[in-house]
Amino acid sequence: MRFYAETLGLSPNAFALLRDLIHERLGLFYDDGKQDLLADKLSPLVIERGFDSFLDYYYLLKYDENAADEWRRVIDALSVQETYFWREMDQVHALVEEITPAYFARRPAMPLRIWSAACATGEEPLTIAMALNEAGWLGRAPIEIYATDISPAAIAKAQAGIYRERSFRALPEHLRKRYFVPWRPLERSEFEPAQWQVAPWLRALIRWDVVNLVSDKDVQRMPTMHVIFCRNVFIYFSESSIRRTVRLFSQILVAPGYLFVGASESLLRLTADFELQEVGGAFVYVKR
Amino acid sequence: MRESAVKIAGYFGYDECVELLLAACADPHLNVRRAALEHIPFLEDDRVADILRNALRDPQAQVRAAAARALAYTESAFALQPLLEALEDRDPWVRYFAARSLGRHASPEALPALARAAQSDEAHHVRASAIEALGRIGGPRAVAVLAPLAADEDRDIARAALAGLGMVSHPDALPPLLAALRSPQPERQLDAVRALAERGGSGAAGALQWVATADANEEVARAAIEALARLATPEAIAALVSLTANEARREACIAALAQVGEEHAEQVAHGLSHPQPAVRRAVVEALARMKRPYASELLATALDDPEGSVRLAAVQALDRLGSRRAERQLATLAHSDPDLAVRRAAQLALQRKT
Repeated sequence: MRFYAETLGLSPNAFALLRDLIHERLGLFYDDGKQDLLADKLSPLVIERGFDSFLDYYYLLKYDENAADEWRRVIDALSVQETYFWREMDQVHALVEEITPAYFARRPAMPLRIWSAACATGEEPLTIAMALNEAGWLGRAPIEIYATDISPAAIAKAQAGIYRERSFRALPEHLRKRYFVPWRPLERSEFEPAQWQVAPWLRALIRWDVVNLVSDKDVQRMPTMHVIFCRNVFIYFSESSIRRTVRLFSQILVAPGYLFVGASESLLRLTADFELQEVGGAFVYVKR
Repeated sequence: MRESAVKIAGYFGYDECVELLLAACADPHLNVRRAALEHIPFLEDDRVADILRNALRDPQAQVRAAAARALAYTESAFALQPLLEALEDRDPWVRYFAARSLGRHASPEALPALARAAQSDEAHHVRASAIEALGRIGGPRAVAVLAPLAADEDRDIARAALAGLGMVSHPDALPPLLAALRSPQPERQLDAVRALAERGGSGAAGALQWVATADANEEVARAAIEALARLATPEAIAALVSLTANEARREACIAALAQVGEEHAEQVAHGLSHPQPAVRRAVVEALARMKRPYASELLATALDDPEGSVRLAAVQALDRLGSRRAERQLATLAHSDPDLAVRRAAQLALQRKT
């Protein structure tokens, strides 16, 4: 503890080094005003490693032969996993009611591939699957749903499919009853909050994976896509990271391919590969 | 559990815990050994030295690294030889912490070994750590090793070398820092700016002022301005005051001047006699942003400035601060200032006070 008290602190120099390294590898950008936030998130990892400065940790992430394991911890610490079912549904409705029918009208036998690119703990792809099922598409058309996140811990939670009340704040009650069952851990205390498990068949429809959206290698191993949902991710990215990821999306999207981003995110200044269109009342970037 | 207990006992350093802490250095679990080793340098016990020396032969690299780190806090006479041996350890983290601890002891005897590590260790972070240690030792021999490394192609090595040079007060350290300031690579310039801010000394403020004035890269110029504020020498403050004449840099300089602290307010206030009204107005603003009584007192002297726009800035600043210090002067200005805008501002300021 004396070591930590003496020197653990994010100096401007160490902050710049760590910030740039994290930006380069993960696309996440912490500006000068977010120095404390970065320090708060990384401090437990630095201390756990027995280091007494962020500079030590920078060298570990950059040069240690086992750095890949540590990067996974960093990703889990920095990733934002605040999401819920039935969120920003105008875009999902546009997918279900406009894009999907139009697609199968042209290619009834060809699979429609949908990718939830930053799915956190899985609420978004499960929402898409529920909405498609409610509209009757899952039983009668070949649809493939891919769901990825940079955080291995988030994907592990998604694969477990167990959710607390916060995830259900917008989901209609009848859908909760249809797709979820109450779940209890083996040793549940009286203070344990209520939890629900998603229907295994719905969870199994989705192909889960860990993907870093600024890694060419990671994105390029995904199959060709028709629709990508990448919502509320770019708000954490720098412009250069957004450009890089959008370029990768453009490479794996067919034309016309659809890219949904968050309501507060705009790609207008950042890419010429996409055109902003209104589809079924929702805004979507369409690959030219 | 034992690891936590060791950390708590080590933190408080109770006499009753000394035997247990020393015994924990031989605990079968490596995390317990490591935690104990990190804390025993702070115990006043003759056995500590031998325990740390033995821990440098522990089969677990993490334990050896902890011992190398702990040796930074023991007496130099004892620590030097074990640390020099640890600098040859097969594990890079042991070498890394050995180099750092040698730097803390700043013993010139370690210079040749650290120079070798800085120039040729196979692990980059060990090289960087050795470079930093050389900076702590300082002197012309250290500069002779650091100067060429400051131009290394590897960013981490060059950055560490520049930071190391920034710790050296010897005049030989300045030319390589100035050369890096002129680098076409902004990141290298930034490293040099930070190093100069750390080092200070003759020539630092002038060089930083030149970068802040002339560099086309906004980030580099801003860093130079912040570095001048960190230096906060009379020369650096005068440079910041002069830089407010440059409209593109004015706001950054005002913000920097406002942060130098009230103890430097008088130095900042020297700018109130600058020949350019724009500079005097900027100084008024910087003094106002300090929000300290003495700074406000100094800025009130600008109420007597020959230029109306400066007097206006001072009236508005005092009004914003809610200062009652210059009420008599404001009353005079409200009544008889030749500039209508100043009279009006002074009247409004007085109205708000009543």
